[in-house]
Formats: sequence, C-alpha cells, structure tokens
Amino acid sequence: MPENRKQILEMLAEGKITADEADRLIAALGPEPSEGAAAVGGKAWPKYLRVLVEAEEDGEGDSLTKVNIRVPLQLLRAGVRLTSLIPPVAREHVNEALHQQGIGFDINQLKPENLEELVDQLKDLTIDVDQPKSKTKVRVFCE
Amino acid sequence: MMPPLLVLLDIEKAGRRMRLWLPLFLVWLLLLPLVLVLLPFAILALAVIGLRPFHAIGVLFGAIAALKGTVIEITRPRAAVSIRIV
Repeated sequence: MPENRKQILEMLAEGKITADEADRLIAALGPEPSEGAAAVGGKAWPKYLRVLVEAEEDGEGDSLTKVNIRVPLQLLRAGVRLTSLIPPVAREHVNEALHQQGIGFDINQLKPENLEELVDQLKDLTIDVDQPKSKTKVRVFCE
Repeated sequence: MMPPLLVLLDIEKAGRRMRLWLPLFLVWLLLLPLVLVLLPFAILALAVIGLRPFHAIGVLFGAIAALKGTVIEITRPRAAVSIRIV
C-alpha cells in the first residue's frame, strides 16, 4: 500500500479526519500504481519485445533493408531460468570474464524472482536510434 | 504450456515466393519415444553433475515452449525472409 494512502487511513483510525474526508483524500491521490498502469497509462502487461531496424546500404531509397523481430518476453523469463542450470564453477568463470571486460555484474544475482521487476520496467522501454548519415533507424520497445 | 507446433517459413526472392509450413508437432511426436528411452540416462547424468533433474528438464521444456510467438522478418528490395514460430 502506498505511504500516503496508509497515512490517510491511520488518520481516519485515530479519528483525526472523518470518513468523508478520508474518501476525498484517497480519491485525490488517484488510482493505485498497480491498477494505474493499465487504467491511466492504458498500457497492459507487455508480451513481446520488438526490434525494428531500417537501413539503407548505399543511401538510395531502393536498397532499404527492414528487420522486424518479435521475441516473447516469456523467452526472456525462460532464459533467466536457464541460468540456474549453469554449474557453479562455470558461473565463477563467467563472472571473472565479465569483470575482466569491466562489467561489474554478478550472474548469481540473475534470479527469476528478480526478473519480474525488470520485465515490469520494460513496459515503458523505448529505444530509438536514428543515424542520419548511414540512414539507419533502430527501434526497440515492448508491446 | 505447449511447445510450438508449427514454423511458418516464407521466402521471397526475385519475384518467386516459397511458403513452407514445418510441422514441429510431428518432430515432437517422432522425438517422444527417443526422449522416453533417454530420460533415465538424462536424469542420472543431471544428478551426477549436481543439477536437480526434474527442475532442469522443466526449465529446458519451458525454454522450448517460450519460443512460441517468435517472429523474425527480414525484407530487402528483391528478397524477403520471414520465420514465425506458432
């Protein structure tokens, strides 16, 4: 429960405000974030990660190459679960290799329970790369 | 959770179009007896390397099932390839 909502209910319980006042204050706060994402933003839970690429090889319109990739986010979840099959020795090697490349990431922290938070954040993800010189456009988003 | 049943392959080159429906469900049916024969050995091997066998099999099956819905389309001026896993 959000902190503001909790405070209002506590004030109501302590008798500092009336039920009507509490109702008005809660209404003023708006919908809770969990329901707000779908109701206010109109965005449902994303199911796919989309990658769209448009590139022109020689700068002329007739050499346009388009790439459209749609990856189910379920595959991302399955991929993270696959990391649980990596033997501990191999995990250490992976971590060492990552650190050598300057990536401070611990593969042991990649757990399915942490993934839902990541997927939730992907809902609002949009990456647009526009390179006018080579006439290349890349768009990554979730839908 | 169902594994993918079909792969739709669409290839277009120089005005000629080829559409292939690859029935993955037939592949699964053909593999099923082999999997049943190899399952005890797989469980044993997974246990020896320190993995929970049924968890590992579930995770692998989940990864295959999660491929459903994947789409890859590449379009060039005179050629196009489309792969859809359904």
